[in-house]
Amino acid sequence: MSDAAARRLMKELNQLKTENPAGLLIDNTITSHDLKQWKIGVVGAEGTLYAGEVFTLQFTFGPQYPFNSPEVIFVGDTIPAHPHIYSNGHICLSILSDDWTPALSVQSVCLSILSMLSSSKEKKHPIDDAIYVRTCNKNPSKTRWWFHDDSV
Amino acid sequence: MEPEINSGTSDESETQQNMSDETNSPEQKVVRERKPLVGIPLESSTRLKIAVKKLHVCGEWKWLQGGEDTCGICRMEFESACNMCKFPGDDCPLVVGTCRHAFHRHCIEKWIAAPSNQPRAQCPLCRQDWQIAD
Repeated sequence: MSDAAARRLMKELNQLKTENPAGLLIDNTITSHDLKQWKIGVVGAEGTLYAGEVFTLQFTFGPQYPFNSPEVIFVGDTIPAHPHIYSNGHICLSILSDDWTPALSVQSVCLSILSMLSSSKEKKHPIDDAIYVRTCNKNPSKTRWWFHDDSV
Repeated sequence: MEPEINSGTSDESETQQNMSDETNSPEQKVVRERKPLVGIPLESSTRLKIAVKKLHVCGEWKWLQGGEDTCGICRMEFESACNMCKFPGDDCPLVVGTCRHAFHRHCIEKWIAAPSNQPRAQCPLCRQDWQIAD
């Protein structure tokens, strides 16, 4: 972890702790001592298919953060079934690869993912889930994503 | 600016005391006047002499272009150095895009230089084509 990345991550962590944004479980956020990896709990919004369900997002930051996007995947026993989330936890979301900008943050990524969950109409993994999970790289940034269906 | 203004006597309460006691104890008045006036004397329309002994001056500077308080890339205040610099100010200046968004020059240059942003980069905040405003 570079100094610059660590400094920004420290700022983000402090801000999350003071703001405690709705839908994020900041109190039990686990960060590695070098801040390279974070695990954050997110709660499905009321009135959606995932209301009250708790999921864990794992962020892994490279030394070039925030100039490079973090690797963000769902981990743990419950991976949400969603048309853009594979059963291995990989998320097909453009801001995590092609559309990343350094003005985005842990908080904005978490909220984008929560909003993606909220707009889901069906608890179902993507059609190509079986093939993708068998053939993909462990790191989702190695995947050439095809972004489609912006409505969900 | 926080000027420390002292009268010729050692402190204000003593001065007031002296004034009310003036008629009763002329000796004390004499003693008071003998004390030399240190510092820069100020004009006074009263019998009190005032001299400025010490000035403690504080200054603050701000980039005029900044607008918002922090750089959207490194999240540091514009007036402090970016995450890659030690010293703020001229060594770590701001630039403003045609979209009116401002960043530390080092932060936006690093973003523009990323291979994924060739040949043209977008503003990290509004995704308009990034171009430095004149």
